[in-house]
Amino acid sequence: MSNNDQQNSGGFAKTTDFKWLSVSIVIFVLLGFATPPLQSMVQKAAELFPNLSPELIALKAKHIQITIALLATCVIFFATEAIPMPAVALLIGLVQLLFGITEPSRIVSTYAHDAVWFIAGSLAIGATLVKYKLDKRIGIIVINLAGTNTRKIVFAILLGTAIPTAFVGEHAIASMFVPIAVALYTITNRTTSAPNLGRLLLMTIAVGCMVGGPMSPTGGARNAIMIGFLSNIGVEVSFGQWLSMGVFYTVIMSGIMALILPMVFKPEVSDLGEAVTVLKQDLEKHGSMTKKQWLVTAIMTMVIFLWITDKSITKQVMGFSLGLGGVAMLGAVTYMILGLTSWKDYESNVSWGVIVLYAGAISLGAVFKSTGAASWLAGTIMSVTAPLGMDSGLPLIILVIIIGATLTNLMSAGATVAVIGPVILDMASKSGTNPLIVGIILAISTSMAFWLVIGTPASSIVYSSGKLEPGDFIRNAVIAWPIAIIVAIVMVAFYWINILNIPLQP
Amino acid sequence: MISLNWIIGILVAGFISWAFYSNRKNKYSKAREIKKEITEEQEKWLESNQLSYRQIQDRKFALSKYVKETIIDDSFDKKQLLELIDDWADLQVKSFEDRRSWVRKPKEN
Repeated sequence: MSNNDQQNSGGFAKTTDFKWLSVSIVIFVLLGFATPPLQSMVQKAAELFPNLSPELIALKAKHIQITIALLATCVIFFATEAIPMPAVALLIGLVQLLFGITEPSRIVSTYAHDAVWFIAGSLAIGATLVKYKLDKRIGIIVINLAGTNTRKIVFAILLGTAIPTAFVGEHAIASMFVPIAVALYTITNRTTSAPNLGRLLLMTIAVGCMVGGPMSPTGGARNAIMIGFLSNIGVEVSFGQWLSMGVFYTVIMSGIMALILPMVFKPEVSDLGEAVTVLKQDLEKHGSMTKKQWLVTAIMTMVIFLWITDKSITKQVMGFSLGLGGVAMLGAVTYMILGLTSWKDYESNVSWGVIVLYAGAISLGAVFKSTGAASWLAGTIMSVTAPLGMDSGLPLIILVIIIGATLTNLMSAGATVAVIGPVILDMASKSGTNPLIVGIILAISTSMAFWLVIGTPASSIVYSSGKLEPGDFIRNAVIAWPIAIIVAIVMVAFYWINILNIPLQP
Repeated sequence: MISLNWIIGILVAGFISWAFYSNRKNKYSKAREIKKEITEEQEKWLESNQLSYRQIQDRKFALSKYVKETIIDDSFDKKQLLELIDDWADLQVKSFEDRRSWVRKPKEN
């Protein structure tokens, strides 16, 4: 595995870091066993399980305490990658088993959810698209349509990275666009020294990948996890519904960033005519699309159509919907049946560790809900936020956006949703705020990892090109991060509530 | 009087903050290492005076012509020299192509 792969491995390629493993164990023991359960935990257990004897209520309170300890331990694991990430996912089940929180026969079912199938199927479809170099076709289309004006090229790259990122992994899109940006910069730099142009084009790729993820459920595992959490509390989100909610953020942020990025990284040249001509000549040599590429594209289009119509046309025709996971698997298996890809390809090109990790996140969410730990933690947080007036409605949503946008800069977006998702949803339910709004806005806010080079895989990829410094990310984030937060708030307050007519109180 | 629960809470918050800080530091140094490796590789390419595909073909043609004209008989040495020139040219072309991104590798797509 190359260094670059290791950097973007998200803790899958690492072995145990014993220092942080020891810290995690200490935290688990301190929080879970150093003191008896808090009185508020006992009260919560009595409230949730009113028919149990005092001894059993004490046991349930202990389960709440152990689950909170497990959450804190997971935060340390997600932040430090002290043990391989899939091992964290499996540990979540093992803790439930060893401390009698979940019955042995039910442990596996806590990992099982349509969202897990959805992640697996989406990754397999993405791997097939990349295998047939369809990601590169997007790059070719963008350059052919963008024109030669620098600002127009920036906008085209923003949309050209954002829209595909909503369907294919961002690392594939970023890796594909970096050579295009470097070529445009290098060719221009031969005649005019243009370091800012290089910075601008590369930063555009990172930003495009960040603003594209929220657009659709396939835009990142964090979205699928949130769909899973929402489904566990009886709120079903269709692909079309998410798309209609998320597209606002992607389009508006792309437009705004197309104006802001050239102001932050003022390009030395306003027209890239010469560089675009040379690049187009190279790209023309790739020829037109092959029959197999068209077939792969057609199946992908069919999958997207089925995702969008799953709760309408499919349900009417078949009498039931296939679910996001069912449709994703249908696409992944169709590729294999038609001989377009093999199981070996899926074995090599799909990150199965990611699937295990997010199945673990679903399990963590399930145990959080079943023990009452989510309810207890939500109540505790609300007792602090209530005096500030931030415990319900729009103020709660603003709080969620700020928490999500901050935490995602400290750990991965998926981990952020996995750790705080169940608690946030419980806060929404308790306060009478629509969990659909709160849940989806949390997933969207975790895309705002603007501050750091290591914020997202796409940021790390553009940084490794050698043209950007950590300070460049901070220069961009000083403006982009607060704007993203404002766009998210405006989106909820005006677009979701007033135009899409999603009620703030369900 | 601060209770044990408060002390544990403060300790855990401290550990978590330390974890975030430490993680950021580690990931930063890894990202810097990778960037350094890539930059060094690019500089090496620039310094190594790499030949373009056309230059390689021209030099291969010139060397082959020289060998054919200088060594008149079809000796084993002549054959070996011509093979060596072909191998050198192939290696140079491969090294030239390895430097290129997908944009300039249409065959792969």
